[in-house]
Amino acid sequence: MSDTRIVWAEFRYQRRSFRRDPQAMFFAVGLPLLYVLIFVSLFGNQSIDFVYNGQPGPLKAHTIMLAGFAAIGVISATFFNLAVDLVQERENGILKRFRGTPLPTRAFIAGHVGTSIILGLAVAAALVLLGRFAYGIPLPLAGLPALVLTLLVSSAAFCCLAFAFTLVVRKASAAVPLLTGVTLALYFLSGNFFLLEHPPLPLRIISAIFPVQHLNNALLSPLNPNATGLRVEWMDLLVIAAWGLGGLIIALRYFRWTPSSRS
Amino acid sequence: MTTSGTAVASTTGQRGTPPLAVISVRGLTKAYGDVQVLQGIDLDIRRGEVCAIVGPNGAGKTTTVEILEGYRTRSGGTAQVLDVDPGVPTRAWRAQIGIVLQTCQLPAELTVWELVERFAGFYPNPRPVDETLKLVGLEEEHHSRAGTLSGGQQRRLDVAMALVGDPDLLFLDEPTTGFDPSARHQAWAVISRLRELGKTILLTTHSMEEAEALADRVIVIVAGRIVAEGTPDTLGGRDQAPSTIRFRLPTDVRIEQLPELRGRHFAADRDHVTLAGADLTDLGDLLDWARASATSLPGLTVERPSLEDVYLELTGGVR
Repeated sequence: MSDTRIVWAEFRYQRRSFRRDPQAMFFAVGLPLLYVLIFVSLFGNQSIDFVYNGQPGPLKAHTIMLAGFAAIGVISATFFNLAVDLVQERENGILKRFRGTPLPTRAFIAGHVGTSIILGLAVAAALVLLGRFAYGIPLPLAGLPALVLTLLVSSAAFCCLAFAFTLVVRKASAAVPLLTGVTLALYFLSGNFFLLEHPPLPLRIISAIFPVQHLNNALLSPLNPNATGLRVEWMDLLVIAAWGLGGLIIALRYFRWTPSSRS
Repeated sequence: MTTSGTAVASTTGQRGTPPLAVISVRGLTKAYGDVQVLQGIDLDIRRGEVCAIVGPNGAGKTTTVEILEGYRTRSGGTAQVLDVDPGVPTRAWRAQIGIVLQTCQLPAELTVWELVERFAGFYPNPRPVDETLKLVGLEEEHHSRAGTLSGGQQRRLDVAMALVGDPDLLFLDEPTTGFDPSARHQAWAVISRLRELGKTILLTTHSMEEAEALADRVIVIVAGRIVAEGTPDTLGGRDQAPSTIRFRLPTDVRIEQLPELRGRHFAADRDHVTLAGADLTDLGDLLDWARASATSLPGLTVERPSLEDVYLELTGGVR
């Protein structure tokens, strides 16, 4: 079998495994959809004075929320889900088992990463379409290229971070609680659930350092009806890409294939 | 004997790799920090041989096997597995070996068929999936998800995944640990079939019964060294070792009436009597006495030490 076919086959098996795993389905697909349904229904109609390019303009809260939940969808699919999978497979000896076969490492990783990226894109698309058709949230056509670019860059970056994160979690049983804690904290700090009008300085610094708020912002501009031009938030994408690159370098250097216990 | 280093089959191989050796190891050592886990292992495994490595926990069985599988680096010595240094595994080399790890939980969401088919795709000349499943007796379960299989079935699936690439050499690390007796016998049947296919197999086990049932040769490792090796029948001089004579004491004979054999007395063991450390002379003397005194020796057995006895002796009782 040629390498391309092996990669394709791996990709297929990974997708199949994911589809049959209700827990992964819930975290990656169910939860972001649930957030949209709850938050947009309850608070979506408020109007906010939103500053874009130095120009304040009226913006419905639901648009900001939708961008934030699309970010959560991407992060759940590519970071959360992939990290849980990898830690679990490492502990179960599956990574080691695959390492002992002629399967090229890059094919195995491509199967995982490809599945996560497709999933991230699918979840984000589902949320945006749900917003458009159930809540009438605008979807400016001019923003589509920027939206797709942002989704691609961020899902690739968060996949790299998932590989790096497996170094922090030693036990599979700790993966879900730890990842839930980290991501929830970042979502709150980055305004995915509640937007603070005048956040205190430490909060602003923290959210500027971590990639989540940058992703929220890069997803909001393509959806913002007041925005103009390409709507690509290059600075935000740069920060996200830098995080991804950092994760990739750490993963390439330190990623472990074998369970932590030695017999 | 041969004078050149290349020609003529010599399976003893004092120097270099014997031509028939699938695995050839000299002076293999492994240290983790200050802990010397392997203290110099020499090992030759011939094509088609089924070889069992036994030894107490922590003796270095898995370390040895995982070095040969290409998972761990060695600290010293030389190793050749299918003419390749396992310290630098290549993809083509990996395609010729099959590995069943000591513990591996397979992806629960995929079916038996899917997992074997997925692995088949990694190898240049895979064996047909249905044939492989038949070999391990899982053809009925091919639609079941791996997560729903019993422990024994999962292990056989694991073996199927190791076999589907049609490897020449198989590593089985404790293939039946934790199995119930029927699952164990099924697994043994699978391994016997592999032997018939001419596969070379290196397995580790805790069970002497398993080593005896499967292996052509048993290698005992204690504290990182090989302390004995041989066929299951001859290991540790088992075939030459003194035997134990045992029979039921006839109703009309009292134990004091039994003969003294070279100054030693029979010992009572419930309704039996035994004499340990006996040889042929003792047996002949006993039979002469029985004939002379016209008595029978009901339930007479003469037993060499079991493989387990030899093993316990060799390992100093540590398990």
